[in-house]
Amino acid sequence: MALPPREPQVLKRPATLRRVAGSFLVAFLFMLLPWSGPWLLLRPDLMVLLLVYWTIREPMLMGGWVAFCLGILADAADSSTLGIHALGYSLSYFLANHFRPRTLSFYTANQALHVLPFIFASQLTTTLTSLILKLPLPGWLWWLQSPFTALFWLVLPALLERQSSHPDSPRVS
Amino acid sequence: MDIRTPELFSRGPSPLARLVFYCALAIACIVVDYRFHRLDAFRKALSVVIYPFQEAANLPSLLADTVRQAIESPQALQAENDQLRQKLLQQADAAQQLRTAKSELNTLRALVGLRQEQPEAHALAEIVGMAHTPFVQKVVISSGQNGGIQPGAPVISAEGLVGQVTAVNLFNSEVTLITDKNQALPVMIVRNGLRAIAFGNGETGTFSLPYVPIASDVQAGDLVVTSGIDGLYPPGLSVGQIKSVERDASSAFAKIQCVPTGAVLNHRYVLVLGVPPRPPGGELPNLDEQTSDKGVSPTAKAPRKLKKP
Repeated sequence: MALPPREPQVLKRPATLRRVAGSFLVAFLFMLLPWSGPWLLLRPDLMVLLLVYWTIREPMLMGGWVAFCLGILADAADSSTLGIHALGYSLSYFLANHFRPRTLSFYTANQALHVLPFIFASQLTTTLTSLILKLPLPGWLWWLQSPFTALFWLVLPALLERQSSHPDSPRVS
Repeated sequence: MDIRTPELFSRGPSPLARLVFYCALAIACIVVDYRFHRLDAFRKALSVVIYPFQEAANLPSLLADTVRQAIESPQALQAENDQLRQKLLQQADAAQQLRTAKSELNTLRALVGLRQEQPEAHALAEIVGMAHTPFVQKVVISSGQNGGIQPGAPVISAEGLVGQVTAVNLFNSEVTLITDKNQALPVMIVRNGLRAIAFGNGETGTFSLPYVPIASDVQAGDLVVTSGIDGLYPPGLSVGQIKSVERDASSAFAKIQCVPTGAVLNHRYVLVLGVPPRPPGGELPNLDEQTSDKGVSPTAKAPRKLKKP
């Protein structure tokens, strides 16, 4: 059986811890912006997107405890019950970690489709938990949040990856 | 002879075991926080950590406001100033009448031996943000423990009741709006004095009166105010206006939808009223049982919201 086509890649330098932490800080500030109305429903969850991204790209820097702590932080910032996001983020981390080799074998655009279920798992968990806690279901726009978040996957490599300093460096195919 | 395989790959628990562990921990957190409210101190500590980030995230909108005010024409500002002066004059008359009426009421109360009305403490606060989740209807105000805000305090705007303080952090507080699904308050219809309980619908700009009998005299357009029978909200605060009344013969209760008057989206400043002291013997038994066991002051907990029966 032929292997799926692999994206020709420029040699990439490993991400530093500072870069990873900085990206999460930006995502956190993005979450804290004064969203309201339909924009609040559509607001992309960059925290979970970055969690999935770094789990796939830099698995040694991530771990279940990172996902859990980020979830608790998101819960506190969201004024929601502590643990709701932690549950969703833990699940997303597990899925991203489990399907990491498979996801890496695709082009960036296909990867966006592959990470959509990981992101949606977090959203679905959050929604179900909120329903169990007798909170009302938001409008239908809410369900567009995950696809909207997955779209940002397309621009993440350009924003976050440090390519090799030599433009003529060998390409890995 | 001791032969050991060198540990080249230290694996630890399997990913599935880790997932189960973290999920169990998250569920435990949810139960402890939602059911037993035992993580309030941890949440307060987290809010102190989040506070500078929240302030930083609010900077762009503050900057936009400042720029908008700077480019606003002086004529528009003058017109707004005149309008506010007129409003102040109109309200000055009502305020003087209210002072006289209150004085008379207290004299009459003293004559018949009733408890005197307590002076109302209040604090001005700025709305600094909405809750970042679509599941709850909350706003964050700029005053917390540092401003003497108490949990359970009613919050009003110039038009009417906005909600209730449900969490007090060091530098800010959370106000649950009257439109939140878990928020309930005793109200009265101004036209005929009919008492009811108002529940939020979980949507912006609407709440309902679900348990009003079908034969009650309720009409669209009736004004709804707080009845004050719970001892927390002062009586007579404007809550909203009835938008529609549906009477279905298959149900014993009418479907009454209302629009709140104190819409928060139009306001930047709110007034936080004081929490009246509890009457002697009026403590909630469950709350006292919970708090006395652990040595926590009853005032440290927000009065829990009424639940829909």
